[in-house]
Amino acid sequence: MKTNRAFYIGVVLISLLLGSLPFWVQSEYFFFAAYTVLQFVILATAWNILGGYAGYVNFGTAAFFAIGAYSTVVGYKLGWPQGYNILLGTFMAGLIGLGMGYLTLRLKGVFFSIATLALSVVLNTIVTNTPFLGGARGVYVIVPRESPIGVGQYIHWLFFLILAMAIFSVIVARTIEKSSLGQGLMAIRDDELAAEGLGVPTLRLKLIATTISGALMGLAGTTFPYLITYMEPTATFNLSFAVNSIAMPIVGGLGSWLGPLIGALLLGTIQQVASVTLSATWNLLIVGGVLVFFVTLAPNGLMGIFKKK
Amino acid sequence: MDISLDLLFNAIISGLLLGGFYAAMSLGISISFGMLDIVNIAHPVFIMLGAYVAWWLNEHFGFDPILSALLMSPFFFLMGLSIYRIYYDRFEKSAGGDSLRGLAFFFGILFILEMLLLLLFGVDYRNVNTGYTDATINLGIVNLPYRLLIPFVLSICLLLAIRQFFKSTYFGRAVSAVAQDPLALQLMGVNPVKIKGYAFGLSLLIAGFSGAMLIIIQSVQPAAGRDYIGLVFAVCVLGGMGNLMGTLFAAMILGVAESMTATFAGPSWSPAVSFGLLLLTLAFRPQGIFGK
Amino acid sequence: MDQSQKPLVQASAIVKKFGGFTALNQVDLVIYPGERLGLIGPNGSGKSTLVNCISGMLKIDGGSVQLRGEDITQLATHARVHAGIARSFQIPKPFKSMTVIENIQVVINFAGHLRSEAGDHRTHEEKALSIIQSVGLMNKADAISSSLTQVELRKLELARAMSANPQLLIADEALAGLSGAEVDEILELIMGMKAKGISVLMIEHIMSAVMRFSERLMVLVAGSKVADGDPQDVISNPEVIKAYLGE
Repeated sequence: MKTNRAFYIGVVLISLLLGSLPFWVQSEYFFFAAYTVLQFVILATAWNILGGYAGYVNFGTAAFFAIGAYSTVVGYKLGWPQGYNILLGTFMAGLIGLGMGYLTLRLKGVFFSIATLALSVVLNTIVTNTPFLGGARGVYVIVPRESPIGVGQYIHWLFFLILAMAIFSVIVARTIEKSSLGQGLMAIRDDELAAEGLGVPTLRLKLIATTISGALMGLAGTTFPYLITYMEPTATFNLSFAVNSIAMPIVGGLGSWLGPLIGALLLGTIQQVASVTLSATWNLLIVGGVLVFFVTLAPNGLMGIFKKK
Repeated sequence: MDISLDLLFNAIISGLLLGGFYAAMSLGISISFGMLDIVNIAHPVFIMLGAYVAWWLNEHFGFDPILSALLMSPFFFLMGLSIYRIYYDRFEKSAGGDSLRGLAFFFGILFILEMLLLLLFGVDYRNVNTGYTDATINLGIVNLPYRLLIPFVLSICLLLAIRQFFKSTYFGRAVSAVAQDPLALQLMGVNPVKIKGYAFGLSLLIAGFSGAMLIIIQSVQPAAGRDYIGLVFAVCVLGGMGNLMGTLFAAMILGVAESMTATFAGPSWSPAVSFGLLLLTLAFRPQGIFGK
Repeated sequence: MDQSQKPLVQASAIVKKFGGFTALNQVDLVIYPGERLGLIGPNGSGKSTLVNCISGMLKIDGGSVQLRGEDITQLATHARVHAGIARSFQIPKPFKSMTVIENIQVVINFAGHLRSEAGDHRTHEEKALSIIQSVGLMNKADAISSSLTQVELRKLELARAMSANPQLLIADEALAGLSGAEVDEILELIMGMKAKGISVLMIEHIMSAVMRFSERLMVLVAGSKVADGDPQDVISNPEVIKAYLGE
C-alpha cells in the first residue's frame, strides 16, 4: 500500500537523520533532553493505544514505567546484561498490565482507571519498603563512560536505544490502528455494548490492548536507571508521568498514532526548554492547564484543528 | 511480638475516630460518584483547599477551623455549581457522554489546584493551634484526643444530617431520584441538570468542610490530597456506591485498618492500605459490602 | 416454517431477577428455522429482558438457552453472535466515529466472515457494499454514522445485525417512532430475511406491523407467557385483551 511505503520510508529517513546526531551535536545536555522527549513519545503512544483507541483511561503510567525501571535495577544488581534487563522489564510490565486488566476490565471503565491509580501508589509503597530495591533511600547504578558500540559516550548509546524504542512504539501503534484489533478497539470505544452484541470479543481485545500498552510503558522505563544512575521511588513514581502521558495524546489528537507523537514532541520540548527557567511546580501547573484547556475547548487536539481546515 | 493491650485498644479507638472523619471526607464522593456517576478525581484536592483556607483564616484572623468551615461553605457550593456546568456542557450533554475526556478534565483540575496550593503555600507542613488541639480525655487505658474526637463528632452529625436531608426534603429526594431515573424526574417537571448541579455543589461544600476538620486532626501539605484519592474511592466503593450508612461503615473499617497498620507495621506502609483495599474490593467484591 | 423440524433456538424456563423483582418467571420461547415470530406485551412485561437473556447480555438466574440443540447458556454474547444469533438495538447504537461502511465492516470482520458460506469469495468490502445496498443506504455508504437520520440509523442497525450472517435475527422495536411510510420500508426489510433463511424474532408495539409480520405470535405479560400460537387466535384470546385494555 502506498501509505505504508511512505510511512516506512519516512521511518528510515528519520532514523538515519536522528541517529546521526551524535556525530555533529556536541552538547551532552541535548541528548539528555532528547532522551526525555523520546521517552514521552513512547509513554504517550503507549497510553493512546488503550486511551485513544479503546477509550479506557490509565492513570498509572508511572507504575508501568517503574516496573520497567525497577526490573532493570533488579537485573543490574544480579549482574544480568542490559539487553536481558530491557526484555525483562517490558515483559513484567506487560504481565502486570494483563493482570490489572483481568481484575478490573469486566467492570465499568472508571473502575479500571481508579485501579490504575491505586496500582501506582501500592507499587510505590512496596518499593519504598523494599531494601533490595533501594527503599526510600534509593540505589545507585554504575554505568560505563564509553558507549558499548565503540563510538561516542554512554549517553549517546542510551539515546540510540530510546530512539529505537520510540520508533518501535510508533510502528506498533500504527500497525494496531490499521489492523482489525484497532478497528475492534475503536468499536469498543464508540459503543462497547453494541460491539459485544455484534460479535466483537471485547474483553479479549481490551486485555490485549492493556498488555501491549503496559509493556511499552515498561519498555520506556527499562533504560531510565542507566540514564539517571540514581534510582529512588519519588522521581520514578512521579505523577507527572501520568499527567503528561494523558495530556500529550489529548493535545496532539486521540485516536491516531500521529497525535501522541505530535503532542509528545511539542509538549515535551516545551517542558525541556521551560525547565531551565521555570520550577517543576510551574511546569506541572502549565501542563495541567494545557490539559484542561484542550480537553474542554479542543477535544480532538491539534490534529482535529488541522483536519477541519 | 509484644503487643500490649493498651496499644491495641488505642489503635482501634483512633482508627474508629479517624474512620468517622474519613466518612465525612468520602461523603462528597458518595454523592458525586456514587449517586451522580461523576468521577471527580480531584475531590481530595478540594479537601486540601478547604484545609488551607481554614489554616489561612486561622493564621491571619485567628478563626477556629469550624467557624471557617461554615464561612467557606457557600463559596465551595458555588464553585461546585460552576464546575458542574462546564462539565455537563462539555462531557455529559452529548449523547452517550464522553467519560474519557471527563476523567481527563478532573485529572487536569487536580493538578492545577495542587500546583496552585504549592505555589501559594509552599511545601512545608501547615497546622493550626486551637485551644483544644492538644487536649485529651483520658478514660482508663483509652485516650480520646480532642483533635480526633471533635472532627469525629462533627462528621457523624454531618453524615446524619445529610442522610436526613436526602430522605425528607424535596431537593434531597430529587437527587436520589436523578441517580436512578433521570427521565422520570424530567417528566415530573424537574430539571435533572439543575439538580445534579446543586448536588455537585453540595459535594464540594462537604469537601471544604472536611478540609477544615482535617487541619484540626493533622498538619497538611499540598501533595497529601493524592493519598486521599484512594481513601475516598475505596470507602465509596466498599460502602456500596451512594449508600450513606455503608460509607460510614466502610470508613470505619478503613480507619481501623490504617491505624493498625501504622501502629504495628509502620507508617511507611499506610498509603498502601486504602489503595490496596480498593484494589481488593474492585477485584473481588466491586458492589461493596452493602451493594447488590 | 416447518415445525416438524428441530427448533433453531430454544429458551426454556428462563428466570431473571433484579434484586427482589422477578422480571422473567419461567418463560419458554421457541423459534424454528426460517420462522417469523412476533413478541408483544405491555411495557415492562419483560420482552427486552428476555431478548437480552437470549443474546447473552444478561445472565439468567434459571433455565437454559439452546441453539441447534447445543446449550449456549454459558456462552459470552460475542460468542453467541459467532454461533448465529444477532440483534439490533431498540435505540440505535452506531459506532459514531465510523462511516456507514466502516460500521458494517467491523461486524463482518469479527462475526460475518466466520459464518460466510463456503462458496462466497467476495472481499469484505464487496460484502459490506452488498448489505448496504440491500437496506437502501448506498448513497450514505461513506457518511459518518453520527450524521444519519432516524430512519437511516434504523436501517444501519438492521444492516449491522445482518452483517453477522445470523441464523436468528432479533429486531428489538426496530419500528418505534417511525412514520407510516418509514414503517413499511423497514418492515419490508425485516420480512425479506425469511427469503435468506434467517429466522426473525420481532418485538414490536405497532399492531398492524406485528400482524403483517408474524407467522406465530407470543405474548408476555408481567414476566410470564400468556399466549403463544396463531396470531389471529392470540389477539382474540381474552387474557391477552385483558392485559392490553385492562379489566
